[in-house]
This record gives sequence, C-alpha cells and structure tokens, in this order.
Amino acid sequence: MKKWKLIILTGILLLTGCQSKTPVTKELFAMDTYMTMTAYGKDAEKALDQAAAEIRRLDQLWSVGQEKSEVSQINQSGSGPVSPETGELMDLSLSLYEATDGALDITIYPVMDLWGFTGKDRKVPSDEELEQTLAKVDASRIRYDGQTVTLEEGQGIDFGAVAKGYTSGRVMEVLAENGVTGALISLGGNVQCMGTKPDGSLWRVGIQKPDGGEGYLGVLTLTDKAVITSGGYERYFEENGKTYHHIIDPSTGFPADSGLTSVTIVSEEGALADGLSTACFVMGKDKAYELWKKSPDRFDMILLTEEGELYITAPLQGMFTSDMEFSVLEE
Amino acid sequence: MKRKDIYLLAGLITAGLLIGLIVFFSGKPGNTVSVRVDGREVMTFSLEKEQEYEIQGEDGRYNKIIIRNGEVWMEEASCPDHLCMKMGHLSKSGQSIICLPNKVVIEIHGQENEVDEIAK
Repeated sequence: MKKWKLIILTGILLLTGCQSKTPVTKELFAMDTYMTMTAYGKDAEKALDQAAAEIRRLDQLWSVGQEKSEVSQINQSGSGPVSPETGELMDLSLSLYEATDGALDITIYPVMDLWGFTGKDRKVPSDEELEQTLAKVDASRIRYDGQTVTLEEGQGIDFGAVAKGYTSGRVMEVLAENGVTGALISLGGNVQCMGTKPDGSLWRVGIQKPDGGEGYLGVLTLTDKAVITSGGYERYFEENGKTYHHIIDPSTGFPADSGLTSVTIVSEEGALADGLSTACFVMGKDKAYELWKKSPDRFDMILLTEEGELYITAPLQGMFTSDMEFSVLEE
Repeated sequence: MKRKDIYLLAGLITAGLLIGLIVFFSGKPGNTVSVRVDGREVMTFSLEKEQEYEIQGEDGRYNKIIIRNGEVWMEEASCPDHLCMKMGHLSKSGQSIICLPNKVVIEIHGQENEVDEIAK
C-alpha cells in the first residue's frame, strides 16, 4: 500500500520538477546594448551567471567609454600591451581589413567620434574636419607584434564591429563547459545558438526587416551558428531632412551607400560573422559575393538590396524560409 | 487498497484535472506586455486593454508607454536619442522596444512565438 503512494507521489514530483526541460533566462545591459540569454541544462543557471561575468570582463577590456579599458589606454597613450583576448581580436580585425580591402577598419573610430556615433551629439562633420580625420584612418599603419599595439599619431581604435560577435562565441564556450545542452543568446540583436531545445528541435531565428515592417525578411532554422545582421536602420540621425546611419565607409568617411539595406552573416565563428556583416554592408552585393566565393565554407550571407531583391548563398537553402522571393548565389 | 488510499488517489486525480483546466482556460486570451527596468520586471499588462503607464527612474529619467488597439508604443522618453520612440507600434509576440539609456525593455509575450530570436 505504501509503495503505491510513493510511486504516484514520485511520479508527480518528477513531472513537475524536471528542471532541464525548462529554460533558464538571463538578461543584462553591457557593451552599450541589451542582451538576453536562454539556456537548457542541469546547471544552466550557474552557466549563465558565469557567462554574464565573462561578458562584463570582456566589456571592461574593450569599452571605449571606460578610461581604464585596454583599448582606451592604447587610444590615450598611442601604445599599450594587450591581453590574449584583445590580441585575438586584433589579429582577426587586421586579417579582415586585408580580406575586405579595408571595408572593415578598426581605426575608423576618430571618424565615428566626429559624427557623434560614439555617444555625443550627432552631426554631419565639416568637409575639412572629415578630411583631416580620415587621413589617419588606415589599419595597415597599426604596429602590432603580438604583445604591444602601437598607433600612429592621431589614430584611435574601436573593436565595436567585432567585439559582440567575439563575445557571443566566448559565451557559447562558457555555456558548453558548464554542461549546457542548448542555448540561444542575443547580444543586442547579434544572435548565436548551440545545441537544441529539449525536444531536439532546432532554433528559429527571424531576420528583421530594415523598414520595420510586419513579419521577417526570412526565418533560419539552424544550430551551432552565429546569425549577425547589419543595417543602417539601427542607429541613425536626421539632419536637414537627410538620414545618416552609423555604418561609416572607411574610404569616404560617410555612411556606407553600397545599395544594400540589410546584410546577415551566418557562421560558426561569431567574431567573423560580426566583422563581415559590417564589411559586406560597406562593400555592396557584388564585392560581398566575390568575398564569399573565396571562403564559402566559413560563412554564408543573406543580402537585401535597396530595390528589395533578396539573395542567399547556396548552402542556406533548406534552412531559410521566406514569404519574399529570393535568388540563390551559387559558388 | 484501503479506503484512505482510494481517497488520496481520487483527490490527486481531481487536483490534477483542476490544474489542467485552469491552465487551459486562463492562459489563452491574447498577448501580454512585460515592462522591465534594468533586468527586473516591474509590470505586466494585457495587450488588449487600453493603458498608459509611466516609468519614473533616477535623476528625472522617465518613459511613458501606451497600449491601445492591441498595440504598444513608447510615447515619451527622457533619453537623449529618442530611438525607443522611433521603434514604432508593436503588436506581435516576441517584439520588443528597448530604451538603452534608461535600461527599459518593453516586450510582448504570447502563446507561441513564430521565432525564438530576432537578428537585427
């Protein structure tokens, strides 16, 4: 008789208390943005706490808004030692500078500052100011020996185009180390996922429409990937009836005007996806396509042009659905 | 089985059915609007009910949200860039308005999200 009760009660407790099937979520404000993280697993709560601590640690290394950060120290004194993480970001940024013909340039920072996109009052700079500041923008003039970064007089750096992607990659590592079996995070709209939901299903990531309209550009069903979108609609201001967005073309010093309104990069490497989404937005469709053909195994793209044409690279077929018509870019 | 055991069993089954019914009927109607400040939920509203709500923060910071006709939007905000006010009128589950300077997040929660996350 006693056994009966025990079995029923145990059953009820098991049904209601199955922890790993309910997601644990955490949100925080860091890196000048809003972040949400969802994770499944026995120790998901502990894992997310550690991930949040890691985000804050990295933020303190790279924040241009904090005087004590490694990046601020380098910008103030023109030179400084770097930690292994900053070194990794430096290596990646410099190799992306090469690969994208300068479309991704971390020395764009003083120009961003001039436009006020670093937080101050936003305004269109005068031609003279812009010309002077732009003359210093050139990542190939950074000296970096693996330990110390040295800038030229008047140069400044900001990892804004790669830091969040790098961080989402690190978060995934921290979560996996802590036994998380499935996770989905969004660091200010930069999405990365791993594993599956408890029922084994994949993650569904919608791509925002640049005009903010109903629905999505499309939906990706996938896992173990970063999905990072760049568009001029996120941060912008208006002056004399003209709109100026925050993705500055390093070759002109003006907001990129390449004919693309939205670029999404899908890759296992968060930092790469982040950097390339900005770079491809600056480069435009044809150059982005050429870049992809050189390393189709490392990343995929979803591109939307000003005319409303939607393109995806071939490997995304089967994981991308859309109400819109789209063309496939083949290798 | 003793009589007491039968009572216990019957009691458990009835309780289970009741909980099931409550969950089935109460959760259904429409979406809710969650208001969070610095990661803490301060208020939830039904998206179906007209509502004005002001969030007062430190140093004179404030945000005013309006819920009307199944839509929610940021009507006023003390932040310098007013980006949150430009995020438009939202009506779909999973959509959110974020005011970074004031750390205010308005999010619509629903029965079923079409997607798990939005890349933007």
